[in-house]
Order: sequence, then structure tokens, then C-alpha cells
Amino acid sequence: MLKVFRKRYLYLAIRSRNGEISDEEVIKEINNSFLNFFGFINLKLSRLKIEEKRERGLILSVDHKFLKETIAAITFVGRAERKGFVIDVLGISGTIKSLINKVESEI
Amino acid sequence: MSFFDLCVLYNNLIEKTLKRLRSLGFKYVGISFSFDDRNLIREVKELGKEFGLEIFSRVDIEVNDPGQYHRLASKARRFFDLICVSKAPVNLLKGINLKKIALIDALVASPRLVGKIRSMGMRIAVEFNFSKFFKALRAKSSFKVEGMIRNVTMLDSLNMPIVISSGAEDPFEVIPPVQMVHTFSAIIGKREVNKKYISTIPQALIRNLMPLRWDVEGI
Repeated sequence: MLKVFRKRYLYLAIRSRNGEISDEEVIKEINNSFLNFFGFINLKLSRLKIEEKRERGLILSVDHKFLKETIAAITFVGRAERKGFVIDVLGISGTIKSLINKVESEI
Repeated sequence: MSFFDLCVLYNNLIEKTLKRLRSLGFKYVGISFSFDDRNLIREVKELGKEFGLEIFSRVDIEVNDPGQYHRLASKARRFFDLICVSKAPVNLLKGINLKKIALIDALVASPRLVGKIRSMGMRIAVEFNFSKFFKALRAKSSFKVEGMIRNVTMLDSLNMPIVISSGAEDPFEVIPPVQMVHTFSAIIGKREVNKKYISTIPQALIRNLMPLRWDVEGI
């Protein structure tokens, strides 16, 4: 069967200047940033969602067609507007397992 | 693969910033000093070696007329590896000899300079600095944001050498290499993501600038 939606998984590390940041706040900021820079339709088509929480950060899934835009939106969080935190993308992969292997073996 | 970040600002957090850069996979770092800090270059290069980084010193100059450009560039060449023109009137760079400099800021490098940059080969590159881009976004300066995007998009479509750098002032502002290239591609609306902006282009630039002094393994 033809795969229409191919997912890409991103390993995010949240670096905060002042204290803990909740996952809800992180995803809210990413959504806002995406909305500001790339619009509502692209946000909905990107199928952005949190897949898993890890010790070092979060794993996010996104449609492969919107990978660049999602990473750009993540970069803009805390940088294009002053927030107390910034988000780093430590790795990208097609499966959660390989992403975890790749990122957590490097750390 | 080894990555370059050719613009990190020198300040008292430099040690932490270098540590962070190394942990993210950068190997070659350009540190921007002021003329007053030039005595610290050797010390910082030694510090970089401790972290496994190779450091290049750079200075950013702002020029208003040809006389000032020649005076500042000649002085800077004695102390720094890379000289970047960060501010200059639109028509100034068209009429002067660019041999003394290595980088031109994206806002200054208008597409009118294409012929001149092309004639220099890989001895000069246009720099897209994320820190400056984010500052312009925060200040809601549409002139600067538009100017940077327009210039870089046009120069990239004409295959001009472009390097991207973080312009980080502290470890917080350092951007991972993967994130840098994806964000840059999204900003200029490019379909494919290419790592050449942080690997092969800066490598060729440094290699051409220091043909005998810099010997590096292939990336």
C-alpha cells in the first residue's frame, strides 16, 4: 500500500534559563510559532504531535513534507521572541527506535 | 562530518559556549573579537584546542567610506584570520577592492555584487547570521528581515558562496547544525536541505584564505 503520510521523528531538548517547562507549554509555543510563520493550513497538515517523553527531552512526530518548516518553527521558539527557554533539535529519524539509538548513544 | 560556525561572539561566557559547540558536533569555530581584545586571540585558540576545536579569529567592521574601509581592513588583516563587513552603504562595496575581506553580511551583500563576488572565487562569501536575523525579527524590522531573505535567496539561486552562522553570544544561543540547515532552507524557501553552508563552503573559504597555514582533513 502506498504510504501517503510518512512520519519523521524529532528528538527535542529543552534548555530553560529559569526552571522547568511543561510539555504542554512547549507544544503550545511550537504550535504558536508554526502558526505565526507558516500559517494555519500548514500547521494542520503537518500533523505535529508529541510521541514520547524521554529523560533528555521529547520525541515529536511530523509529516515528512513539513519537516523543514517544523524545525524552523522550533528554532524560532525563544529566539525570535524572548522566552525563558529555547528548543534544540538533537536528531531526526524515520523511526523512534533508531532516533533513540542515534541520539542517546551520542549523549 | 565536521561543521563550521564562523560567528560566535567573544565574551566572558566563551568557555561554556565552546563546550556547547563541541558537544553539538562543531569542530571549527570563528570567534568575533573587537580590536581591543586582539591580545586574547592566542589564549582563546589554546582554550579551543583543549575542547578539540579549531578557532579562527574574526572581526566585524562597519564602514562608511572607502578610506575608512581600507584603513580598518588593512589594520585588521594584521591580527585577524577573517574580516567581515557587517555594515556598509549599498553602493560602497561595488566600488572598492574586496580582496582584504572574507565575509560580507547578508544585509549588505546585495545581488548587485554578484559579478564582483564571482570574480573572487571562493575567497569571499556572504554570511547569514541567525542572531542578526532573530534580532531583526524581534525588533519587527521588516526592512532588515526582508533584505536579508531577499539577498540570500537571490545569491543562493545564482550559486554564490553562502555560509550560515549562529552569531551566538552565550551557550543558550548556539544552534545545532541540523537545525541550522533546516531552518535556513525553510527561511529561503528552498526545497532541499544542504549541509554545504556549514561544511564545504566555509572549508573552501578558509582553505583559500590560508593556503599554506591551514591544513585540514577532508570533510
